[in-house]
This record gives sequence, structure tokens and C-alpha cells, in this order.
Amino acid sequence: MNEALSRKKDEEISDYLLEQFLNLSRALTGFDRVDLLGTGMAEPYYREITRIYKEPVIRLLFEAKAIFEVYGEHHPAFEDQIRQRIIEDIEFAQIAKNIIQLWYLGSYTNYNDPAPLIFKAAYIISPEAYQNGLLWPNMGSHPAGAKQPGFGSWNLEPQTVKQD
Amino acid sequence: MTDKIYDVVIVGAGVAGAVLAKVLSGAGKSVLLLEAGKQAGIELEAVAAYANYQSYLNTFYTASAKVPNSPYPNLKTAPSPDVLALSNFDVQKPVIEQDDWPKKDDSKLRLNQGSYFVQKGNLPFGSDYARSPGGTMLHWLGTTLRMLPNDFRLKTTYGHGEDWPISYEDLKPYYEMAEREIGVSGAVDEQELPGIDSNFFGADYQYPMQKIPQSYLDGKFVEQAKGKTIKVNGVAYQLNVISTPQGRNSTPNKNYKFSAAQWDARQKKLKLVPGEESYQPVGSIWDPHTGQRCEGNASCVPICPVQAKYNPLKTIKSAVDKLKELSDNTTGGGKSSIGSIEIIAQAVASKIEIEPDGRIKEIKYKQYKNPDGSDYVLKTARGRIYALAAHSVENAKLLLASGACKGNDHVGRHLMDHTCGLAWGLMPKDIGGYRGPGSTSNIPTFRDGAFRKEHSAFIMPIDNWGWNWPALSPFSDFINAVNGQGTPQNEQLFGKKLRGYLGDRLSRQFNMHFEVEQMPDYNNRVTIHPRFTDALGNFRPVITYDLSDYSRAGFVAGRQITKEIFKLMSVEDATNYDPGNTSYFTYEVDGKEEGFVTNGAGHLAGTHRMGKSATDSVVNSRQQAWDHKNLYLVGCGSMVTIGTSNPSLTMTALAFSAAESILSDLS
Amino acid sequence: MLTSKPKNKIKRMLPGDEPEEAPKLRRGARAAIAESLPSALPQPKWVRLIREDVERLPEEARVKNIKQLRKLLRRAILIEHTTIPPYLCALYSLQEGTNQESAEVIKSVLVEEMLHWILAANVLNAIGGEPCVNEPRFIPSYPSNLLDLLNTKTDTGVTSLKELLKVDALSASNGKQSNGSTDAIEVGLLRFSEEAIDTFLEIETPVPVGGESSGNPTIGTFYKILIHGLETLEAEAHAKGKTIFTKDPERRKRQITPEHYYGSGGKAVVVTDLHTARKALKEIIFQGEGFDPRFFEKDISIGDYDEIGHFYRFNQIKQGRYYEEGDTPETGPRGATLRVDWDEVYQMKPNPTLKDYRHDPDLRAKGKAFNQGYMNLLDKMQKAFTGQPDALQEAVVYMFELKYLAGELLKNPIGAGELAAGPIFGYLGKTK
Repeated sequence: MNEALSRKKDEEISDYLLEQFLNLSRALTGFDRVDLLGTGMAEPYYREITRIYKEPVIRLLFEAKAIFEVYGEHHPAFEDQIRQRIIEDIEFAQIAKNIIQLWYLGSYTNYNDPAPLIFKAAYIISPEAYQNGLLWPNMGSHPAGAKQPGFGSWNLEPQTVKQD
Repeated sequence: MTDKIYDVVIVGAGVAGAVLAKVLSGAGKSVLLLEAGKQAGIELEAVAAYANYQSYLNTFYTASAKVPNSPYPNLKTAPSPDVLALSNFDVQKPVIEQDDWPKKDDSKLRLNQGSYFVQKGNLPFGSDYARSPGGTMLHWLGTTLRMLPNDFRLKTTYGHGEDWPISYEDLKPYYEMAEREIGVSGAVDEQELPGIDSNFFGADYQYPMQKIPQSYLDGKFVEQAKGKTIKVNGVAYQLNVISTPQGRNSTPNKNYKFSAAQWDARQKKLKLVPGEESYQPVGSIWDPHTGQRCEGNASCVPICPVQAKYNPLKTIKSAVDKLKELSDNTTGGGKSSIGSIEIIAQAVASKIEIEPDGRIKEIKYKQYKNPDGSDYVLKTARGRIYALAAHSVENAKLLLASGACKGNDHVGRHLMDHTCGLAWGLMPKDIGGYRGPGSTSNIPTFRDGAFRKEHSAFIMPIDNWGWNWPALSPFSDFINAVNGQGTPQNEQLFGKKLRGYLGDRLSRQFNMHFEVEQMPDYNNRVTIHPRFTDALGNFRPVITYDLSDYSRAGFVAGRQITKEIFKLMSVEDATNYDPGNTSYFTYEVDGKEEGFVTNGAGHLAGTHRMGKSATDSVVNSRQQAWDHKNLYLVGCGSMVTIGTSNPSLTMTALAFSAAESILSDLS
Repeated sequence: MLTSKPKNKIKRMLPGDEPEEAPKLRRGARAAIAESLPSALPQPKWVRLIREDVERLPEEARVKNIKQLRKLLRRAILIEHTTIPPYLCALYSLQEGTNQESAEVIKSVLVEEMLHWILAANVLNAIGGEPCVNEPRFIPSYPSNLLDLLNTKTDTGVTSLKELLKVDALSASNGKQSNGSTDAIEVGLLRFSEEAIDTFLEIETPVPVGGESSGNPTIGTFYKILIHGLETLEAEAHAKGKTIFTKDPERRKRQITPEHYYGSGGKAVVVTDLHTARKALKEIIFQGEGFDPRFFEKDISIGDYDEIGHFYRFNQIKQGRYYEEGDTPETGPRGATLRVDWDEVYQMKPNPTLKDYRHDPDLRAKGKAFNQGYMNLLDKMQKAFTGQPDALQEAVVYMFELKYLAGELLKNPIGAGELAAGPIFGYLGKTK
């Protein structure tokens, strides 16, 4: 196969998987697609998570896809399915938690590490990842040292936690 | 090597060195400023200064633990202490062989992995400082409290600690200069402090800028706590909550009337002269329009991204700009009367050479090219007067390494810090934390009073950043939530539930702390040992540290008060002092041992204290070494006691005072 | 906040205030103006030149009374306001960390437009007017024709300001028929692009004063008429021992002061009298929708990045080069390269509307959130302009919020297309 063609195919695959990654991310983080894309970090996070966990990520995406297809995200059992088959799954739990952590804090942690919290490596993957953490706006704030809200903002009533 | 003899050679480009350089050069003197940190950090030209500061910022963004020193380079050639290394501190496990350490307390010697400090006290010393141009005030919080009158006469008034050789009144004019230089935002009329009279600020004194708006949570706190009475050790106190003066930019105060401090050669005095124009906030060093106001980055410690918070590079830049302007506007012979500042970075002072008559002959410094290497060139700096402004620990180290100030054994002793106790809990409702400067209000009630006969005084700042300090929040909350620790039914949370849980929990997090005065204890000290050196062969600090009963009792009182306050405000107390913490200590409360965890405040002071006589101090009230007439020791090291004020403002005031003494010596 | 801009600091090329050298006017004109004014109000040269230009226009072009003047100032506030969202869109659409030099150029203009907005309000408040910035008819919609804002019968009481502008252009070019006279300055919300910069250049086209003309009507002419009106009405009042400037202390509290407005755009001018009104208006016209810098001195150079007019600043992006010392409008910029990367830009759909987002409820919600933020901002500005200048502080908080919301919109594609969403700057409720 010629090189250009193979590269094109890769891109197509990754586009498709990226879409699955966004769907799974929505279910895991509770943020909608617009919020996730609004960070500009979808691709870097997908790349990072596949770099760390490789093939199991693909299996996880297909597992999630199956749940989406069978139940649909508004089905009463949808959340339980995600919990049982992903959050509580030995293989997927780590990956899922780190996907959430990337979106929330821009960082990655080894969840199997028994070390005390301070030494539990929270590897922040880039300055942009830190600055786009969604945990901060979720509590009516902003990442410390970034997206500053302006003089005197801290004196104003906090914006209530956005829940849609 | 240069043969030039400067009027003054200054070691250290932190606030003390910066103020000295500015005042001295402004009075026409030639100044050499030696700085151990990297050249990039002292670049003052816009593009380079911006690029360097952005590199600090990006380092901060990606640092997993955003501790005070995290944005700034830790150099092999001029290492800085690392508070993260504290976790390796183990009282039970000395890791150093003692063959060449002959003292009897060898068994306590600990060399913490990754740490610059060698520690041998009962408690680890938990504070750091930054060896970068601009100094530790790159990561100060920005609190600018004057010390109180009784802080200067503690021994006479309360029978503890030591008296200063100067009074509050003596230091007051220099406090005003410091407040002008730093650019303090605050409300004078709100400073209802214990133990002061109407002369504390003086009639119609104002801060250069209006107070920094207090946080929303301060408002909630004031609503419920202000004016309430609480009992401590049987005594009732009415709680007061006031705005905290801070060195960060706010709305300029139209009623502020002073211009910069100027040297009056005839009267041999530094004076703050009335200004013609209203005060203009000083912006960042790369763009004067950036940082005109605090923008609420909520990261003052460790780094203000817009430099709305003061840092000493602003002082250095303003001094250099002023000299250039003078030079540009002066022709011919007039130029020779203009002062100068020459800055040599990557230059670590390693030894002071002393003449037989006690005068300082020269300073040897090691200049390096590669901050990660061990190569250097030994060079010499000569001046008519020398000023060490390298930080209390580094000053002491340099004196010890040089065999200077040997009239007594006080160099390096009386090391002080504030011992900080934290108290945290959940408020009933969203208080909008994690916003604004780290702290915008404080309870000054326990800064002075008769209780100081029994226990230490303390200030109680109200913190704005949730449980960031006590519990590594919000990171820990996140990890615990997804792992199902502490969540309802220990559910491992994800999706909308996770959002709701974290949003609610984090927005209700409340923390306050008490900074307890520590006495100048003879045994708390910095020393050196030939065995412990850095890559350039300079000494590493060996630190002995403990908390006296007087401070521990103050700590316990502080904790008691927070418990009372939490009850008053229906705060669900989450304070937890972990016995596994290396800074855990116990104290007897009501007949039973209770455990506490102390935190360093980064307020290192007292290693070359001033005094009335050459027998019990290192410098005189002019901050001139008793043993070396042409040597000044400037900075927090000269402080006799530390009171309940963050020491930066006092240090800056002392630097102005020292500059005046030096100018009067030179004239 | 910086660029690799030329380092040579060059003296401000714009004219200073009094004292000034004697005007080099035609004797007749000078005499005519001198007669019409009380000697107690010496006019700076730039004012005299502007008056001279307006005196050449038909009578209808003159402001007759204070009501008309206030209307013109309300128009001025709207004009200044209208320029801000397009500049913001261009700035927002630059991808993070790219085109930093262009970003600095746009920012430098933006902060000045914001100052002009405030200055126009200060002048209006000083003559007892009522600023209004948060009602639908005073909120710009995009795309719009800037000249339409000038072309309103009710404002000056004249038939058509557009016609007058044409007359002005003609007379200024000494009767020569201008070629390429435009009837419209279309401004829209566009991503950073050559098209957007061309629009900006058009908005900021310098108008000649007493000199040669490009032949195109510009906003500068509008300000000429406004300034002439202010001068005339105050001179008339002065002759009667009165003034058009309010003495009411409550009204005077409405002024936005330098304590309220800070940053790089210049200083807010508190307007209390003719002298301070001139200072405020001069700030607007010399920085902004510009006057040709040369009307004051011939052969002036354009070297100082911070102080050159907006047209020349934007021209640097178009030409990919900075001005340096010695450059003139004719030479164009000859200084250091200004690197522009037109591709490192979020592909925002031009003039987006909420309708564009209708197929995606979450995106629509985000678009609405932006509009809500914009409304909040305008409400605070209105408060600030009508007696609570401290409200400006809260307006700034909304400015920051809008920036982050815009960033989120721009990173979202609209449907499966190539184009991205963007900020709408729409009146909430206006859309059906």
C-alpha cells in the first residue's frame, strides 16, 4: 500500500475513534461535547491516553460504544452499565479514571501506586492541559494562575455550579 | 577580574539588595550587585524579561506539586531548599554516617533525599527560599503588615524573647518608605490592631492604593464572626476581622501624597518627599501596562502571572531605568555624579576576606556558566562597603564560611519562622473559594495582649484557596471522589454525579490558619560542616530546629480558637493532624497529650540579629557588623523577634534604614 | 504583552495642546474664525483647522443646538462601541501562541477604542446628556454599515450626513472628482484574515484636515462636525456668560476617572469644561478613526509603534512590516518584519448568529451564554455611565469572561462543516 494512502486511512480511523473517545468522555466526565471540544484538548488527551495504555483503550472505546448502542445514554440502566462494565472493571478502571482526570485536571496518575498522595505522581501533560482543566470552572473558579477573572471578581457572588 | 572599587558591593538581588541598590545608586553611588541565580532571571529588557517569566509560568503549569519554589529553577550551582523533601524526613532514620561529625547529637543528623538542607533538629525546618534574581519575594503571598510596638519590647513587656535595640517609632519612617516602594494596597482606617495608639500610622497617613477587595468568603465570615465573643483559657475576646494590607496593585489612592524616598545629604537622612503626581501602580517588568491591577489569578504563591503583585525585580528595574534617564538628560561633567548599578549574575559569594584590622578586604565569588555543572571561575569584588543581603540562611552560611563576626557565637543562631497551624472544614453553603489573592482578611485579635506572658501571639489569616494548603485540594478531592473514598456509600463517582459532588464540596471548602510567633531560641540555628557542600564546593546549611513550649502553647491556643470559630459558623470541622506527618508534634492539653502538625511559613529570620551590645548580637542597630565596620548584614537575619507580621515589609523597611546608614558612612 | 517592535523611542508625532505656534491659515479664514470667537477661549491649532473645514460645508452640516450635539455624542458612543466586537473577534480567533505580534497590534487598538467609548460618554455626560449603551437600538448588529450610523436625519437635523460627507470629500480634494468614493463601511464579525484587516483599515482611514483627500467619507468627518458644534455652542454660551458644561455635582460624579479606567489605552479624561472636552475628543480623533497625522506638521515620521494612528498600526499587519523612524504614509512601513500566519486561525463563520447553532442545543446554549455575558457587560457599562462609575470594575470581569467563552465557541465546529462557531455579540431576545 502506498504511504499516502495508508496515512489517510490512519487519519480516518483516528477520526472515528476520536468520536468514540468524545462519547465515552461525555459519559465519564458529565460534561457535554461542546464543553469538551471547547477546551481544545480532545486530540491531545486521546493521544496521551493511547500512548500510555495502547490497545486496551481501543477495547474500552468499543465497550463504551456497545453500551451506547444497546442502551442509549438516556436509558435508566445506562449509568449502571458504565459503572459495572467500565468503572468497576479491572482492566478499564485505571484508563477511565485517567480519562476523567485528563479532562478535569490535565494530568495523569498511576492509580495502582500505594504511595502517599503527595508523591503520587500527577503528571501534567502540558501547560495547555493544566489551563483547560474543567474541574475549576465546575466549581465557579478557574485554574490557579490561568484564565484570570479580573480585578475584584473574587468579591462577587460565585457563579453557581453549572449543571445541565 | 575587575580592579574597580565600588562604593558598595551587595550580595543578593532580593528585596534587601534591590532596595539598597536603588537608594545607594540614586544617591550617586556606584553599586555592584552579586546574584547567585541565573542570568536570565535578571534580564530587564522587555522581550527577554517576558520570555524568562513565561518560562517560570510554564514550569509552574506543569509542576505536579505547586509548592512555592515550583516555578523557579533549582540550580546545582546555587541550590534552593525544597519543601517536598520534608516528606523524606525521618526522625528514626539518620542516613548519614557520623565518622566526621564529632558532636554528641550525631544520631539526629538527617540528610533528606533531594534536599539542600541538612537537618538535625527534633522537628524538620519546613520553610524554603528562592535563590533566583528577585529572591524569595518572587513567591511571597504579598501580605504587608507592620510589626506592633510591643513586638519590639517583648522581653520588657511580657518577659519573653528579647527586646530590639530600636523601637517601633524608630522604624516607622522606613515602614512608610517600604510601603511606597512595594506599593501597598490597604485601608488604614480599618487597621484596628491590638496594642497600638493613634500614632501607629500617624495622622492622615494613607496607603498608596485602596484596599484590595475582600473576598466573597471574607464577607460571609465577617457576617457571622465579627463582634462575636469567644473564650480562650477563661478569657473572653471579641473577634475582629479586618482587611489585610497587601503588596499588590489596586485602585490608586488619590489621597496618598508621597513620592520615592530621597537622600538628604545635608541632614544625612532618607526622606519620603511629597509627590507632585498621584501614585501610579507599577506594572510588570516587561510592560508597564500589564499588572496595573490584581487580576485574580489566585496563584500569588508561587507566581503572579501578570506581576500585579510586587516583586523586587520591579525595584531593580526602576532603579536602572532612573539612572539611564538621568544619564540621558545630563551632559558633560554632570554625568560623573550619577550613580551606577552593575549586576553580575551566576555569581555565588563564597568567602569574605578580612583584613587584620577587622575590615573587609574583598569578597570572593564563584562565577559559573553552566547551572547544572560544577565548573566555576573564582573572582573578586571590592568595595568601600559590603552589604550581605543574600537571605538570613545564606548570610549566616557566608559569615560562617569566612570566619566573620567571631566576637561571639551568635552567627546562625536564633533562627525563627512562624509556625503555622491550619484549620479547615466545610461551610454550609457555597462560599466561592479558590478565587482571588490567597488571603484578603485576618483576625488581628491575638497579635498582642496580656496572654503573651503565657504563650505566643499569633495572627489568624482567612484563606481564599479552599483546602489547597492543608489537603492538596482540589487534586486530593478528585482522586478520592473517583476512588470512592469519603463519598456517599463509598461510590466511585463519575459523570454528572462527580461534577455535582466536586462542585459542591470544593465550593464549600474553608481554611484559616494561625501564624504563631516563634521565640529567638539559641539552639535553633544554621551551621555548616565541611562534609556537606554543593556542586561548587559551597556549604549547604545544616539546620537544627525545634518548637519551644511557649510557641507550642500559642499553637494550641490558636487551634482552640479555630474550633470555637467553626462552631460559631456551623463549619463542619475537617481538620486532621496526621501522626505520620514528619512535622507532627505533641503538647499536653488539659492533662492529655494532643497531636498537631506545624507548617513552615517561609518567614526565615534571626540568624544575625541586631542588638544593643556586641556580646549578645551580630549587628548593631544600624545593621552594621560589630566586628567589621565596613560590613552590613541586611535582611530578616537582623530581626530580633518576628512578631506576628509576615516579615517582608519589615525587611524592606530595614533595608531602607541600612541604606541610610551606609550613605551616611560614605559621606 | 509585547512584540519585537522597533526599539527606538520617537517623539510623539501628534500635535500637543496649547501653547502652540501661530496658525498658518489663509488670512481671510483666520480673521473669520477669530471674529466668531471670544478671545477668552483660545483655540488650539487642530481645533481651528477642523473649524475651517466644517465652515466650508453647507450650513446644514452645523450643529444648531445642544440637543443635536448630545445626539451626535450618543452616536459617537455607538460608533466607538461598534468597532469593538469586530476587533475582539479578530483577536479571539488567533490560535493560542500564534500571531503574537498581530495580537499585540489589535490589542493596542482595542484598548484605545474602549477608552474612546468611555471618553465619548464622559463628554456627553459633561454636557448633560444621557448615555445609553444597553438598549437594542444602541447595540450594534453585524454586519452593519458604519456610515449608516452617521447618516441619520434626526441626528443633526440635516438631510443626509452621507451627502455632506461626500461634499466634504469633494471640497477637500479641491473640487476634483474623487474616484472610489464609498457609500458603505461594512463592518462585521470576521476571523483574523486579510479581509478583516482591510475592513479595519477602512474603518480607520485617515481623513485629511485642510489637506488632500482620499475622496472617501470617513468617521473623521463626523467628528469634525461634532467638534465644530461643541466649539460653536460653547462659544455662544460663553458670550452670554454661560456654558454648555454641567455644574451639577451629581452629574459630575458620572465621570469615569483614571482610577476606574486603567491599562494601556491611555488615561481617562475627566470632562468638566471646554479644555477637558477638547482633550478627550483629541484623544479619540488622533488615535482613532483617524485624522491624517500630517495636518499638523509636514513630513512627520511614523516610528513610534505605541503612538501611531490605528490605520497605520493595522497597515503593519497588512504589509507584514513595522513602521520605523523616518517612515511616512507615502513610504509605508520599512521596519522590522511582522510575521503574519493567516492559517493559524480558528475558522470562525463570518457574522455568526444563534440560528447557525440551532441544530446543536449545547452549542446554542454556549452561544447564548456568550450573549448573556455581553448583555451583562453592557448593563454594567450603562451603570458606569449613569452615576456608578465603580461598576466599570464589574464590566471588566465580564470582559474576561467573554474572552474565555469566545475561546470555547471557536474550538467548536458548526455541524460537520469546516467552519467553527464564534461569538455573536447579539442582543438577547432580538433573535426569534
